[in-house]
Amino acid sequence: MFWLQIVKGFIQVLRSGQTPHQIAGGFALGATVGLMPFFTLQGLLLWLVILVFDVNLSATLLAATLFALIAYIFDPLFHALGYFLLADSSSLHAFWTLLYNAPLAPLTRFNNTVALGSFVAGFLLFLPVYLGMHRFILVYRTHLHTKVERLKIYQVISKSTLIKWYDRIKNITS
Amino acid sequence: MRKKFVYFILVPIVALCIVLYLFIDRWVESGLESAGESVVGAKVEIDNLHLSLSPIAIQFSRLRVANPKDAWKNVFETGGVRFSLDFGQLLRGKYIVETMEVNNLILGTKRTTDGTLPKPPPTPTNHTSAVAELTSTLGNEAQKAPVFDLNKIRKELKIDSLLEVQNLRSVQYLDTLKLRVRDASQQWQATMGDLEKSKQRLADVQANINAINLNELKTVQNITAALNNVNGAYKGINDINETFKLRRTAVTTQLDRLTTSVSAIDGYVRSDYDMVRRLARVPDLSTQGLAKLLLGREILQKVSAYLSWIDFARTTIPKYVSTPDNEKAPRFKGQDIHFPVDRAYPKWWIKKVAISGGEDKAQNSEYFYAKGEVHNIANDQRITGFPLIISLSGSKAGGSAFTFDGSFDRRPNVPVDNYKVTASNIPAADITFGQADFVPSRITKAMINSSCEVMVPGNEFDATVRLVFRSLAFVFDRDPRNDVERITRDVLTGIRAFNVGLRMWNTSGPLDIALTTDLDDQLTVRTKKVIGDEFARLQNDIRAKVDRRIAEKRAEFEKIFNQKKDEALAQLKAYDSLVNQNLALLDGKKKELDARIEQEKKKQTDAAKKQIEDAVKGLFKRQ
Repeated sequence: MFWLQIVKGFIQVLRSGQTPHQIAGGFALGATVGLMPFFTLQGLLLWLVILVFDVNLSATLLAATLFALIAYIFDPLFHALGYFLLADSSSLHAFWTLLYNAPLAPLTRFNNTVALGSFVAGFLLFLPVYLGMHRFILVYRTHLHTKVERLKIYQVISKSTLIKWYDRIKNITS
Repeated sequence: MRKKFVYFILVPIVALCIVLYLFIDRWVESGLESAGESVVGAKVEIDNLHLSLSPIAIQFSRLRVANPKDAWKNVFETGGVRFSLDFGQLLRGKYIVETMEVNNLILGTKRTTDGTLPKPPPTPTNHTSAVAELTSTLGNEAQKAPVFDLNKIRKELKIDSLLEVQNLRSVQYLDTLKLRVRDASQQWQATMGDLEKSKQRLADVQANINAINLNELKTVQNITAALNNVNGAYKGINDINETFKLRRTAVTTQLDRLTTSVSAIDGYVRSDYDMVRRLARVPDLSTQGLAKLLLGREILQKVSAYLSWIDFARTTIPKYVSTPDNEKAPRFKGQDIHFPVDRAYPKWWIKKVAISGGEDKAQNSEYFYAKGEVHNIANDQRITGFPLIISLSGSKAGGSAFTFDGSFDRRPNVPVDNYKVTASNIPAADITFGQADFVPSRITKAMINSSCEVMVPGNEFDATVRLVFRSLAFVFDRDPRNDVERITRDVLTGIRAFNVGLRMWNTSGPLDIALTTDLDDQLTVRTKKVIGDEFARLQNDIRAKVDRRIAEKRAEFEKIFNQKKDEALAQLKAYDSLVNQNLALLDGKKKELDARIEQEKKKQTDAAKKQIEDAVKGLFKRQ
């Protein structure tokens, strides 16, 4: 139910309301958060950034969910990347050792191959995802939204009794 | 900027943090208290705890730790305590304290509330401690204590049952000697048989010698022949005499040996007497048993009470060996890569506790105020590399003082604990003395100086305790019931000081306990004087019965031995006399024959002379 609402909200957002930058920023940040293990210092900081800055939360949640699911598939790749950076790159050893002995760094779990690999991957993907999403929103608003609204799946979702009940309850409580 | 988030989420979160900050002191306080209670097993109370965040430090105004063995007393209580945590290590989940300041440490203070905790359900344990073993040994020691009641001894004295022949070594020895005499007697009889044969030869010689009639011997040749006959007989008798002497020497040597063996019977009789006396449990007043009877149980029980703290340390300190945290498995485990660390830390480590004993003038004279240092309280000594070391000294008004040095090494596979405690001028509360059935009494107003060294490597144990009691006063719980109690009371009343040495160890097998005291000597000398007669009578009674039982066997043996001995000696004497008689006869005959030869020679010389004179006279007459 909640996820259906997010999808509906996201489709509405794509169409109007917030700027493409807000939506793309929320989506890119959500993607980065979704790729990383949840309970890390950098994860918490990213959530703080998401909550403080006026990025689109529906986009963030959707991206976080989507990328968290994808991350399971890519964990071996993240492990390989993390292992390469931590173990194989001897030039970085001094830096890792410094971090390892630093007070706050252990909270980032940087010395775990998957944690580091997914963080680096998320960081590297941030800009491409942001730019790609920004471009997609512009294209969507000019060409695609009328076609999407005509799709049966969209009509089923938007006119579903459950969604209507959900909206009604949400309006009462808000 | 998402203003709604800031107003409706961030601001409430900050407010929540402030509320947390306001209440965290209480939560930390109760957390520390319950952690302490789980270790000690009695109430732990912390007052006015305050947690500061910059630097992260905890301080509280008082800590009271109840005594699990006496819930209305504290093991100790402190004044202000302050320590700060290493923030860097705290982020790693490690509690590292460089220095903890503990002020006004007071030992053994009284409580106004009960310090017991609700009892958890009993859990079966297989742990056998040195103290449990000690308690059992204590019971055995009490069994060994001599029964020192004359009436009881008299009543229970059943010597006859102890005088079984198979138990008496002297009787067995007499039986052996009897067999030896019988064997020797047979040898003597064989010797006498041989000598009997020689008697015939002696008789023949005697007859031959008597047959020589000097009057019938007219010529020198005849006399010389008779002399040669006598010389031959003399030689024969000498040979017989030599053989006789050899045999007589053999017999007398055997007799001497047997006589010496007979004199050893007395030693066996003495040993039998001691054995029977021991079995009859009649204490020998020269033994060191009385003080043990009077004092041992109390001392051992007091020591065992203190030893239970050693047991506590042994079982509690290793309880905190670090175990890996139970981490929730991440979505994909990955691999933790470890890098060199400047310094490894255990889960928690208080490097130093500086304890001050208070400087205020208004100290309570009832309590010890302690000061000193504790080093390296940690959950894993293998990581810190240091043993836990405690060094405390304390004193109280009136001059009482103590020192405590302990080390608890959990680094090797076999843990090693060492303790050294000294105490001086400790006023003793009532010390139970004697036993319910023997001089029940109490020592009051005593002052004690003591030193104690304990080594606990693994499950082994070696403790040496020295106690000096002085300025004593005894209070007796009832009137004496017998002479011994009366005497003991008299002696104790005059005693003002004594020393006690106690060693308990199991380093060479089962637990041994050795208790020595100069009180024994003091008691023994005096008691011996007074009750010596009574004991002498008891001992003489035992001796008489032992002697009587042995005397029958001894008389039987001595009769046989003397009879055989006398027979042998008489025969030897008779034979000796016979030989000597023959030798004397031969000597006499030989002298007679020699005189006769001389006489004949003179006669013949005189006749020859006369013939020559007559021939010379006839020659002159013809001219």
